[in-house]
Amino acid sequence: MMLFTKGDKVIIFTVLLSALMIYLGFTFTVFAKRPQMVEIYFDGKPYANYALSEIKGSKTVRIETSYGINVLEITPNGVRMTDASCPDKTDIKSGKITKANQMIICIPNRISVKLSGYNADVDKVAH
Amino acid sequence: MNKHITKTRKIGIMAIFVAIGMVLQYAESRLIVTSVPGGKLGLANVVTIINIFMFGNKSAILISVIRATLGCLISGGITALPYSLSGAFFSTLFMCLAKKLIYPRISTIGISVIGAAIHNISQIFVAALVFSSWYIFSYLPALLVVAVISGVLTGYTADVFSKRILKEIYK
Repeated sequence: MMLFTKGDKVIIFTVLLSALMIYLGFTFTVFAKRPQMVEIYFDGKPYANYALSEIKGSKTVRIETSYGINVLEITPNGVRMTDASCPDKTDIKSGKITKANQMIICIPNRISVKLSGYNADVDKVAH
Repeated sequence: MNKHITKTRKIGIMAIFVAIGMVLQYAESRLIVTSVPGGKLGLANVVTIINIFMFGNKSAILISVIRATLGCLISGGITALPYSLSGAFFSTLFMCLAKKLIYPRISTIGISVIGAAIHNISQIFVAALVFSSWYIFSYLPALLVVAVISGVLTGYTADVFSKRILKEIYK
């Protein structure tokens, strides 16, 4: 029995190719920056900011809102969610983010954490 | 496909499919753990594909929207509703289009992969609107890879199911 038709293979190839293109697009543009700040948003509005350069060792941040509790661990090179009151724990599974513009989002608690940064190329020019 | 089915019987069978879809959606959210955030198997997609072939486009879209709404209330909670609804609506819509336009050239596996990919894309789109940030699209590549794997599995399951089981129902 022929499992995949030719059309199936074209579709699978197209989806995988577009995944690769999006991945490469992000890696070489917005993620090619060095992270500088941790920005926490609640319900789309700024909640708190931390500069990575001021973090010594690690810092734990507890976010308590009307939707739930999230606990962040910020280290000098990135940030991860260590605990959350949401049922799916997608934010914890996201792991540690270390590149500028990467995000951790917690949909049930309406929390998003973003690393913002400056362009590494600009930095090289400055040196 | 089956002209001799009465309207009542059709409504009855559709309701059964809503129930099966809800149970699959719920069971999946409790039992199957994926390491990709937001990635899932999409077992309810099996039901949706079968519905497209059994009842046609309008009924299939209706069934998956009802299933997503009710399934959300028993498992995901109200915040997940916009994601679930848009995912169910757009994935079913695009699977209907795929069936109408390119079906004999692609099998149920191709239809299913399209549905899974559209499901993830529409959910990412809703997330980008809710969090007003298009960087969320960086989640998409991993989700699309999961969509291909789960799409092949659910598409094949739907194919086997419709060939073996549906024949028995309509004997």
